[in-house]
Amino acid sequence: MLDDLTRIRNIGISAHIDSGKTTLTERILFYTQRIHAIHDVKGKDGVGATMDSMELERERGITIASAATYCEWKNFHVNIIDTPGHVDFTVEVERSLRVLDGAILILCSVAGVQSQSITVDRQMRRYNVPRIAFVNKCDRAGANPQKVCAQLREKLKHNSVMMQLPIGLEAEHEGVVDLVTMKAWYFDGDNGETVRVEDIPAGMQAAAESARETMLEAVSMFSEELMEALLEGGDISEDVVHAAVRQGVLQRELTPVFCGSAYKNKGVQPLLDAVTRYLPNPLDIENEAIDLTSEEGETKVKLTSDPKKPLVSLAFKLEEQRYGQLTYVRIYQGSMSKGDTVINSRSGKKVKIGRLARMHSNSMEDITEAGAGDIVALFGIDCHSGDSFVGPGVELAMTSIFVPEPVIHLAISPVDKKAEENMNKALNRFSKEDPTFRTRVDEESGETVISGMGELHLDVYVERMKREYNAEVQVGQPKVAYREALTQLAEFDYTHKKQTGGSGQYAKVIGFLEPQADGEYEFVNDIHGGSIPKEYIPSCDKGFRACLNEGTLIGAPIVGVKVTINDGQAHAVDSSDMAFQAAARQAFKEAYARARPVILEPIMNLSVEGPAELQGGILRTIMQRRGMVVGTTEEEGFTRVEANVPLAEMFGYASDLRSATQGKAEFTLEFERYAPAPKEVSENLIEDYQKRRAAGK
Amino acid sequence: MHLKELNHRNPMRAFERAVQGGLGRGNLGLVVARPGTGKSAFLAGLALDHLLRGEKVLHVSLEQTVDHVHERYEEIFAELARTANLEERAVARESAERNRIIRSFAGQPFNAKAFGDAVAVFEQHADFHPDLVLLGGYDFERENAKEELGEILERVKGLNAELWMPVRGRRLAPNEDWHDLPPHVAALGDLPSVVVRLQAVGESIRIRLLKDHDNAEPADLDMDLDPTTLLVKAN
Repeated sequence: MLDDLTRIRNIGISAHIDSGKTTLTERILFYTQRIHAIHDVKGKDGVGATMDSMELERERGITIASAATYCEWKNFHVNIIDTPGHVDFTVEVERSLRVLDGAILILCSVAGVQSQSITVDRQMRRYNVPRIAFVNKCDRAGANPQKVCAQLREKLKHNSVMMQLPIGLEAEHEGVVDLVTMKAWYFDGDNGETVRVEDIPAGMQAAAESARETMLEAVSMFSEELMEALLEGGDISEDVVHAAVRQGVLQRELTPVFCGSAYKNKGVQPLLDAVTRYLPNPLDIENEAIDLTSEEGETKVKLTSDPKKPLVSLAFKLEEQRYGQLTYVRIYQGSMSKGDTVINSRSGKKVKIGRLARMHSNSMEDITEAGAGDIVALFGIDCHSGDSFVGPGVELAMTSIFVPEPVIHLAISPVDKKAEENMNKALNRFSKEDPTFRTRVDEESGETVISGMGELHLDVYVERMKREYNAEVQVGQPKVAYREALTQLAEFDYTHKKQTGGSGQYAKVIGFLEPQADGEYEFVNDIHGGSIPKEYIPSCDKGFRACLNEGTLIGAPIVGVKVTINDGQAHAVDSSDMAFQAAARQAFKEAYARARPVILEPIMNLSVEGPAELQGGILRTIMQRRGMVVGTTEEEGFTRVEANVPLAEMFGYASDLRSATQGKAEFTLEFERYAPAPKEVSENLIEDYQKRRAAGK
Repeated sequence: MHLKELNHRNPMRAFERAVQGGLGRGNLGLVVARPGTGKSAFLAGLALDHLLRGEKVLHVSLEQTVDHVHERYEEIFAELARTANLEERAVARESAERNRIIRSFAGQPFNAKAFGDAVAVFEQHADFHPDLVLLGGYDFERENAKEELGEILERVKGLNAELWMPVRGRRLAPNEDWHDLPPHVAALGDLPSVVVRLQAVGESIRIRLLKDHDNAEPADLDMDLDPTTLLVKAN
């Protein structure tokens, strides 16, 4: 266990898919001597980069699962959480952002800030993650790190500042000039492992001095000492500059920009220095947990990264590996040792820690204990990702990670008996790993239905079932997850009365329904004077709740309802739990129809980027899909169109966009919100639903 | 409150009455204020008023990103919906969103032709014909400002839309009166039909009318911007 928490860094590497994240990670692991040979993505040598542990990722050249790996750099202990590069896996991205303390934002020196960088940046901002930027691929034709630094400023509103200048670009890219030490760094040896520090090349001296001035000016905002030194014109020590940059980064008000080419082994070591110098250690970050004993909802408690306090930790990632089931855990407070018994605060179950390890992608190393601030893997523990493990007597849980409801359903059926068995195994695993992936068996059709956040999200799981579990399935048409909601207040006054000999049924409920903006259900008992006896109040609640699963418009779940009962009547003999439930159900149904219910459909945030001359074509693909254009931006021959489009219209978009733009545009799609469907769309949906019902009966 | 009622009660109606029924299509309106005095909030409020009445708005920003402008609309809408306790707000929001396009020129060259091209793309490919155009971030001290704005206004006339633009003002000199047009606005001659000044007076922000079509004595608007929400309120 590392006692000095200031020497721990938990970092993520976030980037657009092709900016070279995996290559950079690979190089970092090489230079920190965790691996002994370099493989490249889409491996020419057939091995593939170390971080892409899943076969599927290897084939597609993208990273989906967020494995955590650790390495050491100059006595610093660095845990790297590999964040997924695709936006369809938002929950995985967000979950990994949650456990890291800082991040490297990689940008391509040619493509610069792209639509996906914008999405990833937005997520990082949401989790308040301090970051440094690395402009990669300086060896590529058209490389221009200064332009990318300016884009960070303009497009992402970062206070970005170049900390280095590239020595040569494109084929001439040789190294970097460090603007703090004013030295040139070259990277020698077959794999750039030997750093050679020299004087700045004569031709670059003037440019370096001017860039240093700009840098110092920006950085001096975070240090009075530096500001004074600048004004007085005295010597400026490196330490003062480092401290000022660190301050700016910790306040999330400065983004220092580094550059190089991971593929050509340039600039990676100084980037590692920057990680240890500028990104926060666990003590710099304040973390909070939810107090489970509190009666006032989610009361938050501050945690301290003290290894001696009771344990609080979060399981943020599950993985099935050749070693068995792995659970990645971030420890926020206290410590964890082999043989300890800890408690899962969701289930209350006691769990014994049999084995504790540090993971390096596909190999591992056993350890005996780990403390606050660290990230480790546990073996053979049954839990869901997002569960908290705490010490005995601790009633805290890490804040539940925001999990959106799925927006798309897909019916799947196994091709044979063997596939069915494997499919069930796979589904069980996936739904534990990924909270946005749900699975259920449809009662009417008996089919298995999987649900998730987008078409690609589900595609990848179907693919994984086949490859990793040998479960071949047939898939149906994807279906959109609609909702229903009321839009205005409606009163009810309903009497449920049945007299069929023997004891009858009698219940009367009076009150009103109204829309609730946060999408939740709320039940308010506003009865004074006992017109409905206390014991029947929960029956009413139960009756109303029962109506929420299936709305009367299209049978979709009803969201955002507040039900208030303020009067009613009971009968001494004929009233019962059943009678009040029935009354509540009928009252709800009647009032619901009068509350102007609407159908809500999932609206996606679509961002398309392509050559400026194709803007018209791109706009048309959006208009054809009931899309609304939020805005457009044009830059250096490229246009970006941001739009909101109903998910229902987005099936097959990839191929339509490809043909409209000869494959020159790319897009990202992310769930945005639920919104009322337009009249014609609603009418069609209602008609379909009624036809289906009629056919069913 | 119902949308109809909100539209009816919106203090923008009082503003329109004061300027003889509004700016009018094919005309240029300017809002002069020092930075941070609520120019963009005033204009976003004005745009939202048009949107909620079913009109289309093109918002062109020379400085801000699409995200930035969009967020501003979201904030103003949420504030308006909250203060007016608007009913069916999700429906109102959707139609407002549908009727607005933001075009960002942040960090790019801008001129009358670039403006015309942007408008043409939306007309042709998105079937979008704005009733109101907001053009923010324009530098009125540009050498050919008068000529360029003339061309832009011609294009807006072609759309049969109104054009509103914010103008960055500076602190009034002691010998200046708030009635005086800032020099670079005065230099535009008859180009603008309406000029409004937002002026911090104590805790609140006054809305002053400097120019009202060809009315020699513009009315004294008894209106303020709410200092927290920056929405217009009639006194």
